[in-house]
Amino acid sequence: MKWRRYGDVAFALLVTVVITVEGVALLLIVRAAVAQMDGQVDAGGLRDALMGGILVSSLGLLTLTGFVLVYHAMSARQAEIRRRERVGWTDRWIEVLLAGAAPPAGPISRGARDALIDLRTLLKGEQARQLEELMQGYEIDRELLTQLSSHRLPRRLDALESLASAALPSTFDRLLSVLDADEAPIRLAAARASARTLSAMVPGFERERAAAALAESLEHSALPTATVQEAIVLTNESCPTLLKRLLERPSKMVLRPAIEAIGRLKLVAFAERIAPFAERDDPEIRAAVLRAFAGLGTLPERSAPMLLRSLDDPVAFVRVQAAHAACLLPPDVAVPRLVTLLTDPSWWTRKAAAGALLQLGDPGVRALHISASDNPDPYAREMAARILQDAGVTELSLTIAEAI
Amino acid sequence: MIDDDPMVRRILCTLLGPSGHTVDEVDGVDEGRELLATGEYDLVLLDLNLSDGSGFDLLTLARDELHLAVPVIIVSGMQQEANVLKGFDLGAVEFISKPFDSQEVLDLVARWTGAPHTADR
Repeated sequence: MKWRRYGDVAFALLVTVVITVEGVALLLIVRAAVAQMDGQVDAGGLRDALMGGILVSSLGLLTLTGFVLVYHAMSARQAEIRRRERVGWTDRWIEVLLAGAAPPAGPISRGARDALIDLRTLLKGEQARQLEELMQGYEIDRELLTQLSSHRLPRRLDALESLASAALPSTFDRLLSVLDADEAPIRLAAARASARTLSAMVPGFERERAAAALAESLEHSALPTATVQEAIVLTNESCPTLLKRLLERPSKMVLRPAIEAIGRLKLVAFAERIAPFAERDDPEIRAAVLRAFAGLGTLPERSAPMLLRSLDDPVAFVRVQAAHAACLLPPDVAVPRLVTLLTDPSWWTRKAAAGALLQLGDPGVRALHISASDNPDPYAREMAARILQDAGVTELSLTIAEAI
Repeated sequence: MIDDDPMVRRILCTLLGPSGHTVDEVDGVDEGRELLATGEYDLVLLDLNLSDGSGFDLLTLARDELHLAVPVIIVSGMQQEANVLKGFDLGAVEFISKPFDSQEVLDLVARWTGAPHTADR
């Protein structure tokens, strides 16, 4: 289906030609109409000009429609030819890898190259190393890097997609240099490709060096934090190596996604390491740390005072994350603080506090019941009652639970 | 073997064939259900993304509807913790993440079929 991204230049040229021809036809019609009004041309002359204009417009529309139809028909045929070629080559490469067949002599066709790259995404270990050697033997890395220098966007995107799948360490440094490209889609594809290439590197000095270089490049890439986080996740087994480097970078553009990725991937080993960031001036970093703790489901022992302080943070969205993470505190510590937070000016904080109380089980649910009926703050009463109602927890169910 | 990716099926067939295993392959839940219903299999290699549904659905169906005790190994690129845990909850015995190491596949298949496996070629 990649082939469908091409043909844009031909289509743009065709549209330009058709519009130009129709513009000229319209001009001739106007000229004929003016001439007729001045009595220089009779009605027959004007009618001929009109008919000519309609004919030219119709031909233009027919040409455009024909182009689109032929383009799609050819695309489908082309895709089918490529698919068959790939299937054939996949079988052949599998024979080479798993049955010890001799690899074909180079250079190889595009279909053979794509099949080889596809296989790289499915195999690791010894076969992955064999594939890497084959790709370098056929100079696929050099071919893709040449394609990456093309001035055409689709060609460069194709090259980056293939480089991401091939994950050849020899292309890593070049991929980093594309991370500051002018076009956002290229930067995004380069981030993915470099992350996947890092993921394929074996532990050792080279992977450490590559992780440090990627951390630095991501910091200066102006990529959205979501993209940086995606790149972190894509590094798979190399992720801890990259995260260590990212946590050393000063910019929050990489720090925040790194901290959030730790929570998302449940990398508990990093819990101690991210705790100090909760004292940063930047509220987004503080909130990210608290969100990560909630994701990890664990709180380093020394971080409990920090979490309690965060429940009084001046920034509402930090208090929201602190309330979510408060479930990690012992109930006797968390419940009174969360009950206080039910009177918070922010609706979101009150909701997070009530949700956390619910998660704390019996002591929290009991506190919610008391707040729903007796809290002097009407907003606290309303939120406690709403959370209990949404969760379907009634006084009766609590009594039954206690009796059991 | 139940996987929507023909390339994965080819690799695994090529890998397991010489080890003495007879492998049947399909790409979806419906066909997978038909094969499983025959009760003739010693082991199932199951992907989570299938052409007409989820591998989890098939796993549930195998346990609850067909009452099969055949060991199921999930082979999937969806290796998030939640998917792995859900797979084990539904009765899978192993989880192989894609990309996979062919030796790891051979070892696990040998373990769960009780068959000797060909080692490195």
